[in-house]
Amino acid sequence: MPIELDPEERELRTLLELLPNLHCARVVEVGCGDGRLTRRYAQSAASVLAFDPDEAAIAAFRSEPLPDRVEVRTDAVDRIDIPPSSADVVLLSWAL
Amino acid sequence: MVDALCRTRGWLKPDGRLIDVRPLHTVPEVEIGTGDQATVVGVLTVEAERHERHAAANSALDDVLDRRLFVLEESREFAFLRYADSAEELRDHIAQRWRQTRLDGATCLRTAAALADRPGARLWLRERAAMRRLKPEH
Repeated sequence: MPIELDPEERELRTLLELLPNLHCARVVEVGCGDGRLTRRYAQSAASVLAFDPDEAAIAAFRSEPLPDRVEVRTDAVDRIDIPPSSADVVLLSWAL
Repeated sequence: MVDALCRTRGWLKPDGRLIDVRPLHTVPEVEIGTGDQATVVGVLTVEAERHERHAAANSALDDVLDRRLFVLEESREFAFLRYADSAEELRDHIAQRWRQTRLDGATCLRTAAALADRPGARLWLRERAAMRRLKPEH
């Protein structure tokens, strides 16, 4: 069996506790990696733009059908073009 | 990292929020257990560079809070667990996914022995993490 990541979904539950109005939020996720967390919360958000500079991780993300209203890009936080004052939520996802 | 936080602030609507998810400690723990009973078998080996990166990221967050670019509204802690069927599987997973961090040979052997001694026990890696909600100040 593959490694199971947070099967208790503590991370998702914490996110939903902190963002009770996520359902109407336009989310920008920085450092989405292979989309592990994105896929868990995306159906609760109005839309998601998720990006990561790691091409392999983004390829892994795209290897499965993307959830509705999710856009994925290979990009970096210092290069990506995002309109000012356009996001309800910016999620810095383990982006150390 | 400060620059990155400043950029994200520009993307946010005035009433938007930044959610920051990060590990609380640099060194995750290897545990085995059944139900609610867990035993720490060891910790991962983390190189100095990762400790430095972790410290720099925390410093960047402190900096933007000190400068009142953001205000901390709420913070929660949680445990992020990765379950593996064997010590070797966990070791390989870490080697593939993480930089500057590894499950060393001695800890791997000790973990395998501990699992063999406790039939039915599960193995997991525990990362203590924090999730913070921050409001941009304009």
